Amino acid sequence: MIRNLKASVLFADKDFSLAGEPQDLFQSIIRERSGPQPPIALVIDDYHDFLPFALYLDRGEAMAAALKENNVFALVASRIPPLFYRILVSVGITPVECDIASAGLKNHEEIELDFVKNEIQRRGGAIRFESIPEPIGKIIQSGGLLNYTRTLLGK
Amino acid sequence: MKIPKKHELLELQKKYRTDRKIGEFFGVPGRLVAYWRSKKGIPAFSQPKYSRETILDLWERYGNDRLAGAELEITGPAFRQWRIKYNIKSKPQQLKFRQLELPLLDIPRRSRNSRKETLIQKIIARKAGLKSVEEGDTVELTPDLVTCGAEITTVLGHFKKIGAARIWDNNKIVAVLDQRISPIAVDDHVTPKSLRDWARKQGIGNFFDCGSGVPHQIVCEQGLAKPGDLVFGSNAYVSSCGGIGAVGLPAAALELASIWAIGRIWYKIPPTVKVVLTGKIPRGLSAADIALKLEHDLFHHVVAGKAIEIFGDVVSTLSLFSRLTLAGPVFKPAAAAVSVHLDEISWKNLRKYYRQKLTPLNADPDARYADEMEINIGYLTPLVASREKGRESSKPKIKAAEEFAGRKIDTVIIGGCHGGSLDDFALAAAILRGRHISRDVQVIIVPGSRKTYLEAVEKGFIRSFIESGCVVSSPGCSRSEWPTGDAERVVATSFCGDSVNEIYVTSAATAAASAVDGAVTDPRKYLL
Repeated sequence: MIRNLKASVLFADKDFSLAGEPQDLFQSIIRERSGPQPPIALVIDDYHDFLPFALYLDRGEAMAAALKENNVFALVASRIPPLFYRILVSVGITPVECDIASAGLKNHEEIELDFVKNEIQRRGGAIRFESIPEPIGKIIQSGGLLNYTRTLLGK
Repeated sequence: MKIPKKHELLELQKKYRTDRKIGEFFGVPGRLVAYWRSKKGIPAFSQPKYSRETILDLWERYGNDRLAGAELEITGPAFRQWRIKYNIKSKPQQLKFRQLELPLLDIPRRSRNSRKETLIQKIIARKAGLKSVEEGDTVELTPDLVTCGAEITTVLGHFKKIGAARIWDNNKIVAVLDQRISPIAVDDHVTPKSLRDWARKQGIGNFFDCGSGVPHQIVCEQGLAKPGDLVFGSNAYVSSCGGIGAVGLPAAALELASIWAIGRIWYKIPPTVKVVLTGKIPRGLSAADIALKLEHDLFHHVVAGKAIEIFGDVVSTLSLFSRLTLAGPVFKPAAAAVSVHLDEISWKNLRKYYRQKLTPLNADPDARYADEMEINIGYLTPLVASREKGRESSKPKIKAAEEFAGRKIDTVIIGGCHGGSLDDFALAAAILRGRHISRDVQVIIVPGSRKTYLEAVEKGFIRSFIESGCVVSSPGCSRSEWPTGDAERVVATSFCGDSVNEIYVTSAATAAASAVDGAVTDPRKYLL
């Protein structure tokens, strides 16, 4: 079971264009930072934003690594392309699939991801998300596939 | 509403057969369609209960009316009547190979009525040690084979970070140095020598050094990957293994390192799309053109990670290499899995690649698919997928070659991960034989494997290439052959280059014809 997580919502919109290289995203997120940040729940509300890196393993891996380095602990979207979903899990980022349109999340809003109830807890209500299957939950809880494999090997 | 013309009604009747279904298409009652038909003198659709193909197939299989009739649950004399109706009289001299649908290994056979699995579901279930799986299930499984190309340096880096001393099963690892690697140093200071030493230390028998070819072609033509196998690979081309009735899944470097260490990985069963190819491949076209058509029509399914199973009479006639081409990605998007139906005719062609006795798996006849579509390839023309420079990540534009005709090009690369098989070389050689390439173009030939290279030498294809002015490179991925300096217009059979170039991905025939003309060209003018 994944531990609940408090995070700050960050929208990947035009200002955080995902169409370029992963480094561009890296830079744009850094630019937005001011002072200490809690873990980020990056919200991608346009499925097409995934295209640049959802289809290619190497670009997907580079993007996931850039997100992880920038304190992104969860990626929230209506639908995450499966290949990128796998890559997120590998690096230990929680993929959260929920109805973004009706959720009404706001940029920089503080939320809590509740993995017991499978809900995004926020001021004024909760939004349900797809439950994370157990094998995936174990990997994310370990901090990614690297740590998970090490644990299994007793390292 | 506009009343359909006679030819339109006939077309719709071919597709939907009944008046009711045609009516549903127009949003009108079936009886109105019947009225239109009667006015235009079109008889109602009718077809015999059993087609000539069905009767002939059973007759060739059994050569006995009683046994063949039992398959259709009719009596022997009734089957004989059908034979006489279709003028099938002579007894087959040799009985035809029977369709094999037996499950492999220890999965118990369930009653016929309860089997509704796609091929991909069947294979995954076996590898997860389960009787069956359904769409959306998340399972842990053990692959039969793990292939690794040039990405091996990254995978090895992760493997070392994990701290595992030994590979979980060294017989299941295939390591291929598929790019020309400098003997001095490559990524992460890993040299070919250090990789060789590491493979020897780990006891990896299936280690293929530089110049051997590309992983997916090697494992299929050497029989390392078998029908019914689950293969994980380090790049999108692993899905080509679907051509032999296996399942090839791309995995990230970290995932592969984890499999190397513990032999397990998680997988979520994707929805599957059934694609039925109808019609015959037009002259001058090849499996690469069909693959481009599939990539065009199925792009949104691919993005959504759906698995694809390809059926149709045309796939029975394809060679091993054409089947690999059909299952493989052209522009490298990584679909969840692609599988090409393996019927008895296909299996007859493929079984020579395997030493051991095998029983291929197939999807259940009543398997449930998320979506079904029919693609008529009979009217296909040579296709070209283009991508502007600097837009590596965008969706490629796939159009008829004639729409790009006359566009001047600088480099042509035939082969590599896609288009480097003997079938492709045969087509390219047919165009280049006796002709010279344009003086403005450099043409590089990259065989997909050493075996292909040798066979191409024996058949005289390589001589044709050299005489026409091409450069023949060593077998492997074509990445190291791509221009990296000034931006160029590149026509290639696989997309392994950088975004600095303007790229046109085509079949080997279109690439060869374009090399002769120095511009994108429809190859049929040289082939018909």
